Amino acid sequence: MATTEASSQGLQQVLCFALAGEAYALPIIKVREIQAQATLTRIPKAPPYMPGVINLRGAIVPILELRHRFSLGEAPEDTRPVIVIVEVQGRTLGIRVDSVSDVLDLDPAAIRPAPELGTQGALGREFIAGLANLPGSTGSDTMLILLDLDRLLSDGELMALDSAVS
Amino acid sequence: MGHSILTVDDSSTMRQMISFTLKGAGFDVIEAGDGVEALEVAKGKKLSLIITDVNMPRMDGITLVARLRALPEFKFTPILVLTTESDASMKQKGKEAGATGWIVKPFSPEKLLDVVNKVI
Amino acid sequence: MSDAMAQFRDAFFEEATELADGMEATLLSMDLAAVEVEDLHTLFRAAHSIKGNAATFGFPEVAAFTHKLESTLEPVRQGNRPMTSELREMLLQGVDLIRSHLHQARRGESLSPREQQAQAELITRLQADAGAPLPAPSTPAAPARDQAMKGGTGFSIRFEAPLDAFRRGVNLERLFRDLAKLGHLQTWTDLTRIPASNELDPEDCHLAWDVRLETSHPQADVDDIFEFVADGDNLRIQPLPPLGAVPNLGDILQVEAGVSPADIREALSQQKRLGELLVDMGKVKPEVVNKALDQQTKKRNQAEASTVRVATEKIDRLVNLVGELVITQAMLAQASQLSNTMQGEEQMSAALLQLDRQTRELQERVMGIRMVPVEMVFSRFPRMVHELGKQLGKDVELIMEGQATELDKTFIEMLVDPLTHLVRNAVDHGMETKEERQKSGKPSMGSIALRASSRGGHIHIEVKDDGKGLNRDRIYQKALDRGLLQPGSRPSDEELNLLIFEPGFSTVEQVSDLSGRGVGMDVVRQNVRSLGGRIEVESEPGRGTLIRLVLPLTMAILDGLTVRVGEEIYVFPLASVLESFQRQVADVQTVKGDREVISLRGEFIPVVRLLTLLGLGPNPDASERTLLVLVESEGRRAAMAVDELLGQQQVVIKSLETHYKRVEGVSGATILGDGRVALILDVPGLMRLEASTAAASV
Repeated sequence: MATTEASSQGLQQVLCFALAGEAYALPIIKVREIQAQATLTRIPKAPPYMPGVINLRGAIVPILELRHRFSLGEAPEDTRPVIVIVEVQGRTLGIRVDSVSDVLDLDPAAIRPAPELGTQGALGREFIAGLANLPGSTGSDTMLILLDLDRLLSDGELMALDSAVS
Repeated sequence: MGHSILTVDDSSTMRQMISFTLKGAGFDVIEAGDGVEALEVAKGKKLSLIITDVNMPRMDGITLVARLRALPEFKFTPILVLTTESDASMKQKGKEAGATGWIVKPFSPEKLLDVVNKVI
Repeated sequence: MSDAMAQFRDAFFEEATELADGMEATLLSMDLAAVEVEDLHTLFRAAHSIKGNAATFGFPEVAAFTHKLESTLEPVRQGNRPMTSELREMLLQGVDLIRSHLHQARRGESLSPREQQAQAELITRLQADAGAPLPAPSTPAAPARDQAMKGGTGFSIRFEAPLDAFRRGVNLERLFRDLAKLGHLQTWTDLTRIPASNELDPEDCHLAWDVRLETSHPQADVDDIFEFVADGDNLRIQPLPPLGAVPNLGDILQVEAGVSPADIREALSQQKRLGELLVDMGKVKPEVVNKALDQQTKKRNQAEASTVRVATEKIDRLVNLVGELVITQAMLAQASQLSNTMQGEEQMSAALLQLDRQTRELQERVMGIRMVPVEMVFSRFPRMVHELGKQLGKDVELIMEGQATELDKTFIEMLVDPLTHLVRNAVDHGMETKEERQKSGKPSMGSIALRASSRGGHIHIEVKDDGKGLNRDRIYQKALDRGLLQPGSRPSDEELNLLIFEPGFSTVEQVSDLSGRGVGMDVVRQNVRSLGGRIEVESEPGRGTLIRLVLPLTMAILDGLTVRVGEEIYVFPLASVLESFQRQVADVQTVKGDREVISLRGEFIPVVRLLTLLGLGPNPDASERTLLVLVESEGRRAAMAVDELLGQQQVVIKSLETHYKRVEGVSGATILGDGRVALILDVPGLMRLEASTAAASV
């Protein structure tokens, strides 16, 4: 089902961020805070999209490299990535994105299910909660991709409890 | 209350003190000066309690207890002996003869009533 | 109030709040059409306890008010005043007022004027339709305090009347009446001592009683009542268990179901499960036993969940330390202003030295507060072993030692499952059947020993059975079948023993109903590892098996050796590090193609390249010298190649699993002084990782 969780409620607040030129958004209720860059400690044999952990005020929190997850390639040298700390299913996780832009109120009615497009690279439709059009400053609309965090993180390989070496 | 108590002591002062205290508490009190007299006085009476001194002329308290216990009418009557603190063995002797309990001298009127209330 | 009293104040508030909650729950669940007498007693006792404790701990207002509730409840529980819905409402209001009292008293204040008015109104209403109020005890404080200090709430009395009681004119009825005057009395007459009628002298007294007396009177008052009938050992008076202690099942049944202590003793002497036996004896219904068991569990859980008791000296020392820290802080502040001067630097380094000592001590002492006796886990085993033995038809005796050994509270929680499994396994698999034991000339009663001891920085917990021992031939075969061992390999006995902890490894084909349940042996190992401990196994065929859990003293802090590997920093638990040394690269020999070993004092030790093992990158071109850290775990050694030794330090262990997952070769993480996360290496895990990579590459 491609309905969003807020479709039956009022406006949905989302945090917008950029990733390889695309505009993405997360429901703000999942977001705990936004961190500037923190030193990453690499986890042995971890997949490249979840390479390590950071110290979040004493808690050891893993980092999800969204670029790698979506196979968008390395960020250009001049980006100063930020980490969006989210809480999903009781776990805290940092999502590294290129930049954070805005907090928006979205009318659930304006959210459409993702069309069947094969142009989204490795990003499967299953992680998209929906799409919304944003009136751009230059008059042209920007498409906002709403992520379904729960699906993204309940994805088997990402949170598998045992990564025992094969 | 209707309880009759026999108090046996060769010292009249002691008898009076006991008698006075018990009467004040509503008991009927009969007095005897020694064991022999006690046996005579007690004969044929219905007593609720007998309080006896140990050291008395003619018949001592311990003998009195044993003699009373041998009489059918006093077989189960509570008997207290008056002992002194220094003579702990007397408690045991009293018990062996059949005494219910003891009161250690010196005692206050309150203590006397306490003990009496314990056995009646 | 004395300081000693102040200490107990929190405990008082906690308990009083619980009691008030209990009163409320009882009142609400009460069926007014069919009031359970026991509920009334419960209410009364709760009010009584709050009153007594409040008086003891210096809250006369709380005591005075609860005394009013107690007086109201006294005729109710005696059946002289009906429990009506109005009364219930009033009592509920009373509970609210107790709470207000407690709330205010905690802040050192009295009831607000509004609350005081409510209280006055309630008291008037309570007394309006009550009979004569209970005579107020002149000062509840004095006897209650005396008794609260002793901890008891009364006495449990066993009294066997002297044989000549009748003949001496002893008034036994009077005696019990006097006892009843002291408090709440329950008696059970024990007629079992009366001989058969042909031997019976009717003038002899063969009666005996078990008495439970809830009273705030001192024992002297009880002794006094028995003055004329106490004779040697025919009278035993014991204080009841203190308030808040976990009562014995027998005690609960005694109070709640009126089961006589004599019956309980008889049941206990038969060494069977108490509740069942009482049911068998027809003394109590199964439901009642279940209810009592539930109640016991609840009490036990409460006891476990509640606060940790800490000795005053411990707190005092902490307070002093904090004082010292404040001084150090001032020194540092001053030194920083004098920076760039000789004096400033000296002062700075002195202060830092002091800070180092103080933080270390603070850490140790704070950790000390978390230590609880291992008894908390052990206590469940007598019952379990007994039941298992019964179920399996085996006679098993359980020996426990060292219950007072202290462990970190977290450990205790984490050890419950592994120990349960080990004990269960010992009874189920380790122990032979009676017949087998007799055949091999062993006593038919098997024994399981649970021992805890503290040895040089570690806690040892042993589960030892005198059963058949591990069948190493079978383990070997099984390990081959499962591919855990390479054909032709010659593992030591110790290595074979440890294989039983491999996932999915069980030497018993048919998993029995008992051991099949719950966690497996691999989970035992996993839990022990996650506590930073290790397992040792000793086993002798026909003689039995000893499984030893070796645990660090506390989990939260670890003595570590920090090393650099590539660009990453890792921490080795110091406990598994034997030494570190440098070797010429030429000393590292290669065997079987690519496995590297070095020779150390005549022993060949495998070299583990952490950089490659942890996937941090390819081996850099070998420099001239290699830095090696010699580690040992579960009887095996390895030399771990690292790039730099950074130093020894204590680190605080953080879990990786809270937000992430378990990582092979890593037991946890810590945060370094600069805020970076460093992973703590799991030495046995690394060895396994190395073994499996090596196997894969062959």
